[in-house]
Amino acid sequence: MQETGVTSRPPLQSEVIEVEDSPEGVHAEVLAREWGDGLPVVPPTAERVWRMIEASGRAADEVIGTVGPMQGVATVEKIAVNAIMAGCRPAYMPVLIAAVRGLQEPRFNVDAVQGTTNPCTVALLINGPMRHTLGVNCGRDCLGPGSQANATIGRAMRLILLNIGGAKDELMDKAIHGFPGKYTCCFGEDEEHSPWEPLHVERGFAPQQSTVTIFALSGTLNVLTATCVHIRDMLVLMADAMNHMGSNNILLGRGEPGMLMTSGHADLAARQGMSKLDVKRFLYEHSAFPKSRLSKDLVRQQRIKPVIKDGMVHVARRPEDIMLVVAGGPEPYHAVFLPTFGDSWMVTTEIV
Amino acid sequence: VALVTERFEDLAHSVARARGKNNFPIVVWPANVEELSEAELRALADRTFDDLVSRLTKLA
Repeated sequence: MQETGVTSRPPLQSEVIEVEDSPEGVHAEVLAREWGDGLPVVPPTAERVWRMIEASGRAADEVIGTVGPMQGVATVEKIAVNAIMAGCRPAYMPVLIAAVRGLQEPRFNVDAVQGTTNPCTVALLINGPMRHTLGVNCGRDCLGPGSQANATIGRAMRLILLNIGGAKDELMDKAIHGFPGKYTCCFGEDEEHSPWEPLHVERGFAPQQSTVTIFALSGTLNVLTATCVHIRDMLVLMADAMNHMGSNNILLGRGEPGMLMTSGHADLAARQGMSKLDVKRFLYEHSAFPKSRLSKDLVRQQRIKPVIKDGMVHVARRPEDIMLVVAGGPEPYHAVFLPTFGDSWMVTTEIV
Repeated sequence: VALVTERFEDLAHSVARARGKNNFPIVVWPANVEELSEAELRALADRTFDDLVSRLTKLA
């Protein structure tokens, strides 16, 4: 149904349907059509879709890319529809467009990320000035609820993966369990309180550029460091969390496992003269374990390709492959290990 | 020809169709060959090899 104010715009390509004018009616229709993630959605009316498209500064029919495994075509209009359903503000559109551009990179391997038995999701990390413009939570509870930007940008990506990518049932999404991050996972880096260069600068962007980094996150593992006094001991605990033998990063010897530490941890490390790379090297060396632990009774040797150097199994190919990000509340009380899918490499795209 | 394990057969067919390859040749392999005896594994390998050759020949 067309609404007042949209008649001068060209017709949208999406199917227009009429539903009962109530939240319950919309929810039931979306569930029946398998368009959602199970949660209620904001109805993507033509007016709302146009507001979202216009905020992107792009044509409705501009193709940003395709999304696997079903190779659905991600036009600006289709991205807008999913963004509205997720509860996004129009200002978030450039982030989603940049993230969908990131999905086009073969090294991200979105078909495998979507179809694997691993629980992984497409997580989004936002860097640069746009974090403040959009209100992205980089601090306390940044992986938790409360921020519209974190909650809805991450959810919009999931709806894009479901509705455009087609990974919406057990035929296309083989995850054995999945994990709650598949509903939404988006946060920012606490750049202002970090003594080190942020992730996007590490990856070749200028500090004043805004970027979104997508990575195939398999879960989160909390590391209690509040019992420690010295940063070295805190880092030992973090390293210990990284080397569980059942992780894809260990067994496949691939991917970029992450460590989310607080500005408190980072300050303590910097005061000891440690650079970001020094911390990565410390984690790399202290998370390694003897090759003998990978017995043939424990793992099928022909299915794994661990990184083994001098008889030690490492969590990544090299220290630089560990994704180290400063975020969360400032106290050095908890860190979070971020295991990843392994058969996927993070992609950072500028938000324009 | 794509070689996939049995649990991914339906996904492989769907992905092939999504890429416009409706009759893409797919050969299916059990997920847990390690549990087979040597004789069973040899028989499986012979069957699979014949299947692969057959499908590759059809392509030619």
